[in-house]
Amino acid sequence: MTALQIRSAASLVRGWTRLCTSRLPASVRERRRAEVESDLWESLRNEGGSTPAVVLHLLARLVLGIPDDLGWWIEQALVAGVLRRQTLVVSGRFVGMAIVLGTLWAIGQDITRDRAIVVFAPGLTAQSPANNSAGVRFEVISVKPNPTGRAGWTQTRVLPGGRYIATNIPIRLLIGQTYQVQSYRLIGGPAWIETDAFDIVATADRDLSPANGQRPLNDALKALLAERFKLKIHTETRQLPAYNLVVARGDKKFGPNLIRSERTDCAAILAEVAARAAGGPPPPPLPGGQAPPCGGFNGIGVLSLDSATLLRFSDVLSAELNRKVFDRTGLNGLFNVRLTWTPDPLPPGPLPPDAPPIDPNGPSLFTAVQEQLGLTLESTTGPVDVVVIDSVERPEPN
Amino acid sequence: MRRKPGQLVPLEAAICVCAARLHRKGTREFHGYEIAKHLAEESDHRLLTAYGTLYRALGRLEAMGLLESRWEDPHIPARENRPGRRLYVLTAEGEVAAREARKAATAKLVRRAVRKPVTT
Repeated sequence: MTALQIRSAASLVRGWTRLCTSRLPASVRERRRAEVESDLWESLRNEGGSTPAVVLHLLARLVLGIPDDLGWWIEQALVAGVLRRQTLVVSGRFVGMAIVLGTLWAIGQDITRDRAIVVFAPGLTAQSPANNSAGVRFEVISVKPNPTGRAGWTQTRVLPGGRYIATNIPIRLLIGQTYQVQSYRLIGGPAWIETDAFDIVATADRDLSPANGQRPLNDALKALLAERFKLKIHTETRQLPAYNLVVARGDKKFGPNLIRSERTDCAAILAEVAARAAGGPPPPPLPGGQAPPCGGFNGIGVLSLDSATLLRFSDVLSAELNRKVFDRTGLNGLFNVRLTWTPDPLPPGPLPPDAPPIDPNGPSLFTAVQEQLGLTLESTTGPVDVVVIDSVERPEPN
Repeated sequence: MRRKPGQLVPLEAAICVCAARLHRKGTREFHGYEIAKHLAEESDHRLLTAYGTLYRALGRLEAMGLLESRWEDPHIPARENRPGRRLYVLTAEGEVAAREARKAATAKLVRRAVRKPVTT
């Protein structure tokens, strides 16, 4: 019995809660999920005893509450109009039978193996990195610890002829880039994946540039991580601290730097940009941190977006804040956004020559969002799709 | 358990009584896990009330006007890096219900004692 079982039991509770709140109105759904998440957190923090006792306690509280969960779901579904009384009897029997069978199956699993229980968690899927590679693999790989440690810069380059060079790269960063997850969505793993850096030189049998929606570099890196670092991951959905992006003012008036775009569609412009990029190097950035048409500029203390949805803006903010930002503004359409703030802490050393200057006395990011855009960030908790590192090993030297 | 009109089921009554007791001890607001912990301690059970049972009962009590609830200030969980708590408080009607529940429990004990007199 290990902490893995506790996490699995907690995931089962979360998964069941997600299932038994599905199709209900968002306010009802989010409230129940957040309450159970809070309860789980308190349980895991406060309850002592052996690991089996904690696991059994969590599972018992889950299973014994299932009849009430079903009754509650039906009540709420009737109120919300998502369930008609005529279908109630048949649906209830079907759901109940499925849940009982599923629960028995889950409890019957041998959870002493390093496997995640995935029965009730819709967002939880076991994943083997090697299986994700779509055939592209590196044929020659050299992985060496970088002697300078994390003091030096990290650099990655993709060269013609299927060559990939990463210098001084921590494995956590490489995993994030490979699986295209922002840092806040990457969970677990030993400390060395962040503190130790490696130099990687690898060559594939074909070009690694993205084409036709395929990302051969990512596929090859997934295989490399699985083979050389014995990386095992899975994805799941967790309730995590997050922010809601909402309109700050009651009269819904925007700040001066949030302007509705005159464009209604970026597809043609983005297609043109992609066609140009295919024929040569990317164009240089615009001066002063401006965003190109339908594009964006994300610098140090400067963020510009041209004709972006607020959903996209929320994603960019998530990376800046290292926490999920949910777009709860209710504003549709495309916007031009310009945000300047003082990073905390300020970056050490001089800025790159083409970077816009930083005002050391400027507002924080939170204040800038409110004053410049008329939006505000409210703390909350919410479901976040995360990548969990189950295991990773230092590579054998070569 | 089938509900009789105008009556609380035992868990609901126990929550009201427990909340009133917490209030007298100076804890006006409580969250789900907290009340479950107190309920278990008072009934000398190790197992806390099941998630579904507990939160359904809290929801019903709120719908009946015996409890009120709110999310705590979001800055507190953000600072403590934990999920936010839904805080419940017993309303005036809830306090009346708690008194009634205590009276009913006492009367039940008396009836039991009368039916089974202690023999010496």
